[in-house]
Amino acid sequence: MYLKTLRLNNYRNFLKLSINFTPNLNIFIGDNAQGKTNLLEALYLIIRGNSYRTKNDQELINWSNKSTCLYGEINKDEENFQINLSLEKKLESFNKFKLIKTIKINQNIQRKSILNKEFKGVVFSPEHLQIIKGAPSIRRKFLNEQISQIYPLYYRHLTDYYRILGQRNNILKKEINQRGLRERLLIWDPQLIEKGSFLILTRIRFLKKINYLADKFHQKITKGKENLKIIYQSNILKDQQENISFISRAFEDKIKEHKEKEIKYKISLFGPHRDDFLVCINEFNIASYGSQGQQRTSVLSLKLAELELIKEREGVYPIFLLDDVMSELDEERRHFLLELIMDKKVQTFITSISLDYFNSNIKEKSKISKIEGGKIFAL
Amino acid sequence: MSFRYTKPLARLIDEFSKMPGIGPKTAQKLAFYILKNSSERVASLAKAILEAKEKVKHCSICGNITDQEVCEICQNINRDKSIICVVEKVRDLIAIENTGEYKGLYHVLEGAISPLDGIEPENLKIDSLLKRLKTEKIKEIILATNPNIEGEVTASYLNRLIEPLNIKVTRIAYGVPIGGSLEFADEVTLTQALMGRQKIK
Ligand SMILES: Nc1ncnc2c1ncn2[C@@H]1O[C@H](COP(=O)(O)OP(=O)(O)OP(=O)(O)O)[C@@H](O)[C@H]1O
Ligand SMILES: [Mg+2]
Ligand SMILES: [Zn+2]
Repeated sequence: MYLKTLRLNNYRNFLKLSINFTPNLNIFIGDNAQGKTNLLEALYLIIRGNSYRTKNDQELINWSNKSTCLYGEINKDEENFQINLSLEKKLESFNKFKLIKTIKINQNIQRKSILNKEFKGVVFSPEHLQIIKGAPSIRRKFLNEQISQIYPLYYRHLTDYYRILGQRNNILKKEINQRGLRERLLIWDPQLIEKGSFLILTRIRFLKKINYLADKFHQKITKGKENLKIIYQSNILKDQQENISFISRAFEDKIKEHKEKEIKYKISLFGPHRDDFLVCINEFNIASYGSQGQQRTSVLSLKLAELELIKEREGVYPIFLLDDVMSELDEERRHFLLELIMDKKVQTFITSISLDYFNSNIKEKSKISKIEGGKIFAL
Repeated sequence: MSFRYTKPLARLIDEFSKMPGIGPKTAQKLAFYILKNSSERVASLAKAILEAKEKVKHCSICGNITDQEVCEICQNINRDKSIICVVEKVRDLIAIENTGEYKGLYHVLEGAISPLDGIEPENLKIDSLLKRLKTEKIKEIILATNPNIEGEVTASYLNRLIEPLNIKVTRIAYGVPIGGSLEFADEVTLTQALMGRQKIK
């Protein structure tokens, strides 16, 4: 799958733009604040229907305009798709605006979910370093999003689990006697354990799979100097168990053992909603001990693994968007990363401050453009 | 400052907007519709509302709505009195009745266990259900609570209570859209659900 064409109208700092791409590597060079990230965001909008940067679509419309249009042509399995996405501010009452978003596939209005089913994209942006450095909740979000994409049942169990947690925490906050509290909790515990154990097991299996792929990539980029290990950290299990009845039993024992504590703190303390995972290089935790370059390389390896998972499921590679990936990587890592991408024949879009990061062999095979103040020039 | 309606009108709008599914805009629309109608029409509407409230009661046995002490289903001698289908709401009972496939009795719980909504087991019609199981000759219970988490929890809670009574307990389990409520399931899926019910382990 690849993007052939992009046209923008009054989008962010691009007033008018029309550009064609190569199915291989597309490089965008530009100084700070010229529109590189904006352009990647536009590509993502075409394939996914929403931004990966903001939840507020209004930001996408150029400041001095009331509407924006994006148009893209995608080729998937030798078939062409024309995508239109428009955002329009409509006056509702004298001081209120309503934002109207329209998505068209081949001139027919479609829901975003249809677009999402058809086209996929994987993004690396500097903010994704938070997967390593950020709070556990960011890693749980990463896990939940990734698994839900491949496994709809997981999403259902996840929403059920959080609903049960809400019910359970509500009980724990009630001012009633211990016995009544325990009795009421017992009504919810079997379901908490059932759904929770399923979530834990699925996460462990998923991480094992992504670990296998990410480690392969990581070793390639670091020329075998580093291996990558992802470890699920459950507050119920001591080690990574893959037996559902073992997990449920451990879960049950844990909440039985610590019910006192839960009643004291008035909140559910155990289960996948408190879990986390560690990323290790050569056996040390890189959130604490890794260099910036190591952290960046690890996130990249994870993203490359994500690319493979989508390929495995969909049969074709998604589009790969890499924002500002080159800085902080040494020459050798840059070289191996680019070689890897070229080998895979994944359509890739890379932004960079400088063209010096790319060697002549790569430059020869890519389409290189320069972005300056919302305009694009071929180089 | 925004415009204010005269008091009686404001009160009417306020009353409408308390009704389920009605926002401030619809409440306004309904209020103006009432004002536009003749006094006789409005009087007849008011009377219908009052009468419905006064005459429609809950069946003293199963909780279905009725204008008598005991509802038509409980009175009907042609129905299978050895089987009770337990539902959350009267709406669910009506949905199952509309399939025309089910010939047994019902029991309306008036909700599902949900502490977040202030509903604990003692707020549901569970005691009266257990009493029926002990006094009537019931052979089978179908738990047709909604297929969402609260419905599931309520079903397994009931199952634990009924288990010692040696009555077959089955759970409506087939074709009902996941996470939905019975009210929105169409008749075909509901019929399948009733026929495909499973014995709870
Ligand atoms: N809705 C908008 N209308 C007009 N301009 C906008 C809008 N949104 C963002 N911009 C401008 O676009 C410019 C370019 O932003 P962008 O994030 O793409 O820069 P960049 O090339 O990725 O820079 P860097 O190298 O620093 O990451 C910013 O200076 C911003 O002020
Ligand atoms: Mg940028
Ligand atoms: Zn009745």
